[in-house]
Amino acid sequence: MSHHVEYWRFNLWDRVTHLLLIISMVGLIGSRFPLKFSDAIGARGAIALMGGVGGAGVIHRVSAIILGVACVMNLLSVAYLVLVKHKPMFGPDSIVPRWKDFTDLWQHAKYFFGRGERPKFDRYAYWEKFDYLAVFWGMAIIGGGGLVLWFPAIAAQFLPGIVINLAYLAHSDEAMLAFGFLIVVHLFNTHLRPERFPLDKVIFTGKISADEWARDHSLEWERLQSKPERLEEQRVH
Amino acid sequence: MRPLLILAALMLVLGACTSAPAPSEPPVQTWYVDTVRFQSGAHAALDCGDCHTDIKLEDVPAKHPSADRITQEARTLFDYRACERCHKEEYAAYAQGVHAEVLSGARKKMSSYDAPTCGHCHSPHYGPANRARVELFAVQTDVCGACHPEARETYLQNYHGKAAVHLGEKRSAGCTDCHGGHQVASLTKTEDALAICQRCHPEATPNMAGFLIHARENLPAPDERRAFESTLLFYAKVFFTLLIVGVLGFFYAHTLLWLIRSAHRKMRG
Repeated sequence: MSHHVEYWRFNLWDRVTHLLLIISMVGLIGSRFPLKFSDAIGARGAIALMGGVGGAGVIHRVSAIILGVACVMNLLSVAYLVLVKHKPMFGPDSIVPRWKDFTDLWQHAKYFFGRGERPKFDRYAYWEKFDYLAVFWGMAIIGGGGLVLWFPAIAAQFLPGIVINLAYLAHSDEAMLAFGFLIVVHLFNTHLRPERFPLDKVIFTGKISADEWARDHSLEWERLQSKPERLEEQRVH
Repeated sequence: MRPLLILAALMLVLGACTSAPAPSEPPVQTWYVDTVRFQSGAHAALDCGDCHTDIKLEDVPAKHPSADRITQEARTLFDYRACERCHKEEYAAYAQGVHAEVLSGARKKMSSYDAPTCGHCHSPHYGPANRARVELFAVQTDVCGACHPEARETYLQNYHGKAAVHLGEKRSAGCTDCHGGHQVASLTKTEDALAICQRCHPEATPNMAGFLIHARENLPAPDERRAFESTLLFYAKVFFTLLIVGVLGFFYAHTLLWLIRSAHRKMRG
């Protein structure tokens, strides 16, 4: 089999969702880093470039809306898969974690120390599942806290004032966690590690080569070998 | 090894978060008056005797120096009733504020410092006139912060302080915008605070005024009045610190080990 054969892995809808996610992250982080580290060198200049703290606030809120759109788009995509295409919620193709993910992690850790073979992954490896699902936890904490900070008067109609303090703390700390994770772990796992360097194009083009599929998602690839019609359906013509 | 590293990182982070600012000693002012600097101050047009009415130029050799006075802080000895002759409104306002209450003994001192009068905040010899609002944000934060270091620290962690002092946003609020400059108010009562909040946030409700601007999330229950809220904030900070250190510690180690393994494999071909 030639490595020129390519298959569809992500549809246009999901690729656009990911693109919106990137745009919103750049906007959200870029407009708030100079505020969080407001006494750092360059913070004042960066804020001035955005038209002052007011302008940075507008960029932050517009980016938040883009993130909200991306989130709704993804929920629609999930609903479509489950309700219309009747894809199973659990199983090898699902992003829902299962016991194998934990054994894969253990096996992978042993492989890091040269104590065994690299585990074979299915459609989504455990770190890809974590990448994806962590966004939901982050969205709930950061998004929820952000809404309280955006509309404090409305929140204070039915919540005590200390909730605004908690929102401030949670929003900021959780965002630092998300940033620290994205910039190191996500970028390395998907793009920067030697096998993928400098960029894994699959989330942007939607296409994966037969070689990469067989290497990175071997179990899914092997399973599909017995269903040539399904494989043919996914082939890029 | 990794648990040890995480523990060390955690202790570092918690240590950095919980270390209180060292209380600074009250600054001892010098008795020397720099007449060149005086010329660029707001009072440049005045003569010494306009304020120092108790000192007559012809008496000077007899009155100066007085050894027991020279060991005391200069600004605590001046009779600030002299200020009232020109600054009537400010003087009257000061008499209504909490600083004056402390001075009269009607109110308990918050810190080890003496109750401030005019000269503790203003430099009558050098203080310039007509300062820009943004410049005043920084000056106030340092002047008030000299006796209220916790207020200074927490203000600079809050949006108002970051925007005003660090980022130069003149629509933000400085110390005196909320607490008053002369008629100083502590705003410990929510209804007092609410009226102040509403000057910039007309939509503010009593609950919103319960927001702690000077929140001490880094120390457990420093504020007796709101001990429960402060404790809640402290444990929320502990929770998020553990979460960040735990998740990032785990995945950074994962990433590093993976990088080493992949590079090793790649080099071996």
